[in-house]
Amino acid sequence: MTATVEASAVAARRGRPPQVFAVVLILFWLPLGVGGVQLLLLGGSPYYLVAAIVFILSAALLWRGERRGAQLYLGGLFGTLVWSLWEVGFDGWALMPRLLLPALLGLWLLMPWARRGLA
Amino acid sequence: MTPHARPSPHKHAGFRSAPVRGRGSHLPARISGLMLVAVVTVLLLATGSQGFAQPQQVNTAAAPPIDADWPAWGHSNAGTRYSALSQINASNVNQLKQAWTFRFDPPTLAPGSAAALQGTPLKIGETLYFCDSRNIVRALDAETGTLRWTFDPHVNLTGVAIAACRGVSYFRVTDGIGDCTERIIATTLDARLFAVDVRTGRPCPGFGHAGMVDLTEGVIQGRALPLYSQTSAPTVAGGKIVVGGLVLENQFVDEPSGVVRAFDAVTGKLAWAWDADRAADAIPNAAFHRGTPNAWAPMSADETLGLVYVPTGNTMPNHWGGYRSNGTERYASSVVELDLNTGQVRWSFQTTHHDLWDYDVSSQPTLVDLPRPGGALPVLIQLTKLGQVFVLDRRDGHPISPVSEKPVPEGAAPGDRVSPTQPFSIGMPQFDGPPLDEKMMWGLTPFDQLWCRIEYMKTRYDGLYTPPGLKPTIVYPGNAGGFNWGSASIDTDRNLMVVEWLRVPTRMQLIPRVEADRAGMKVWAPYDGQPIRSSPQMGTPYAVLIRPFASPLDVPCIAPPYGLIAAVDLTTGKLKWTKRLGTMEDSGPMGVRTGLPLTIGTPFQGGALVTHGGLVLIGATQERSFRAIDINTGEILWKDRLPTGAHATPMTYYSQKSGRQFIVVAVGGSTKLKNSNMGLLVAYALPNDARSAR
Repeated sequence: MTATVEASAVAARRGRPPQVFAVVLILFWLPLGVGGVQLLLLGGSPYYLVAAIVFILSAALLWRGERRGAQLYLGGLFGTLVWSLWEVGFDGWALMPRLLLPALLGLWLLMPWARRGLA
Repeated sequence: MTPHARPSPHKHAGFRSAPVRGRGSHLPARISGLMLVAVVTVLLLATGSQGFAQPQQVNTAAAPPIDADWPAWGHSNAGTRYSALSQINASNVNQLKQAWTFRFDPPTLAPGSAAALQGTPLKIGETLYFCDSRNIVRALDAETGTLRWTFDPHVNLTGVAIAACRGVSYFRVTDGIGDCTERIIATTLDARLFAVDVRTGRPCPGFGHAGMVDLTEGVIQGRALPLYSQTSAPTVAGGKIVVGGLVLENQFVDEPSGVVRAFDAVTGKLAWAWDADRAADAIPNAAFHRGTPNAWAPMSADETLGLVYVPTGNTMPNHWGGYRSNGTERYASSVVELDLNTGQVRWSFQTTHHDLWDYDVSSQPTLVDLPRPGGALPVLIQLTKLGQVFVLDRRDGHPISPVSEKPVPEGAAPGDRVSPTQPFSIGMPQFDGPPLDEKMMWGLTPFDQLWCRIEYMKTRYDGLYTPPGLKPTIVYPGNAGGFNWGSASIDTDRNLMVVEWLRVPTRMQLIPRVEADRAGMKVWAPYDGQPIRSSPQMGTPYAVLIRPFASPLDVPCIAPPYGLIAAVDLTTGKLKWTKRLGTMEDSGPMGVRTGLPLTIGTPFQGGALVTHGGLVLIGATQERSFRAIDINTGEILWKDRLPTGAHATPMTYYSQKSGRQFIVVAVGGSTKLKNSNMGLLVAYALPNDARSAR
């Protein structure tokens, strides 16, 4: 509660936290997290579950206007890049579904209004 | 032998080792800089693909003897799809222009039917002969594309699985005079064989009954369409016409006979018949055995050896084989050599034992003479849906390139068995790609990729020949191949073989009879207004569900490429080059055309023409284009965009009138590949200045 109040105060000075982005991020990763649990239970890759946790955490921090949210997003994106290259190497078509949307979403955080909203 | 990047075999994700930056006041700038690098890198990686090639100069050899005609479906009965013509060659093909086009009406499809214009014209003298998807035969002036005559056998397309005609054949009566000395021999989707005069298109009165032979006789009672039909050009050799037939798949035990018949090319009288259960001494018109493997694919023949080479299909139903006869077990999914005069089996080679996957032999056997120190060796090259290239001595069926029987997965459905081993051509490149694993699952987005990964983990896949069962299995290569009727194209001067192959998995599941009945799966009867053809496998304990293994966005569940083209040096048996075939321009998620000219390697139907000019000419892809490829490098030298897909094998000829070499391809789309149905022949030639400059 206190944090939210502080964040709002910060937002008033520096611009609004990227809350729309945070919501989009959660809507994006929540189904992937649920599917990730199913995949893990079937003996598949843990990536989707782990990535969903990281990106949803990032979304929570961004909602509060915390810069650490962007840092975590960047970390998640790098992790995804490393994981993708480890899985399929430099095969452009195979990298596309793994990287394209997370990278495009990341562009949002580069926008001046999104950066102004981060403490 | 992988045409594309092979994933590493490690198991756990490397996610945790990803660098997460520390905290500091100057971070926003650093974050955005890093983010920018990351984003740009990622976008570049994700959109990277092969670009288009520049034309390359190739020295053409001295002018070869002119190969002016195209007298048989695969150029000759050897099925090489090779022409010695070289006026159009690697150095001038970029100036190729449309010389003429010929338009006709595509078929009006009955419910449940699909169509694909798959015909390759013949060229005899100054005329082209061509069949469309309704078996209408047309003769066109080879120079101008002007219509000379039309013969319409009035085929009923109701319920026909795929309305297609791959070609017609030509026969000349020795010492004949008058009408029908030269004739076009063709078949129909409703199982008739006919002969018409080359000059008039009128039926030959002395052939069968007023020019027609009923091929349903002894095979099925009455016109029980569409269980039995003809789609490949008949094989004319040694004064005989040899025809197999297409039996509709997976309907019931004891489907119409897969009999192979030879008819006298002059009179249309039955000369001999062979089916897998036939006794060697059976009289020609003895009843044909039901439920025997069919032979729908194009055949080839060697008149010197007096042999016809028959690629056989499977015994129906495909996917549960508990009730198969000894004869069908021996001859299904094989290449069977029959004596042209008697129909006796000389030898046979089985490419899949106890076939439970629909791995029928669908490529035309290609006959070539390989140079060897002791003289030319007469071989037969047989491509299979499993992506195998078998090289056999065509005199006795002995493998020239080693064949190994390797163990394959076990676990047949109740009441059935699996063959413990299957044959692999270990001395030749294998066109099946690496085995699938979870990392190869794809999708356009993380969502459908994850869906495909989950489905993959739920499905049984133990590699090639995973047997069908009550739990869903992945069939890979799928039932379209590997290789299909596009067949091998062989440049017999350069000893290069060009092949096209698919990487499209399917999913299969056996359904117990009680559940199948409840779901209303029954024998296809289009006249009852049944909307969808199913695979009930009546008479066995299981129906079967066969679906593409595709994501909810309707893209394949495995990463591209889906269609590839490759060249193999037959002197060394080594792969010379391999390329993805086709861009994403005319395909995309949910059937939406993306317009993206990125080379992905699309699904395709059709084969390639190879020429002495150093060219590979091929349409085939979902991308609506026709292209010329350098046979030495695999680079695309020239491309022409088309109004729909060209799912037919092109052909070439020389026209005496203008002294021009033409290349002709049928452009008619394919229901299955979502390219709209049309009726169009396109002829290409060089402009005058380009020819004189060569």
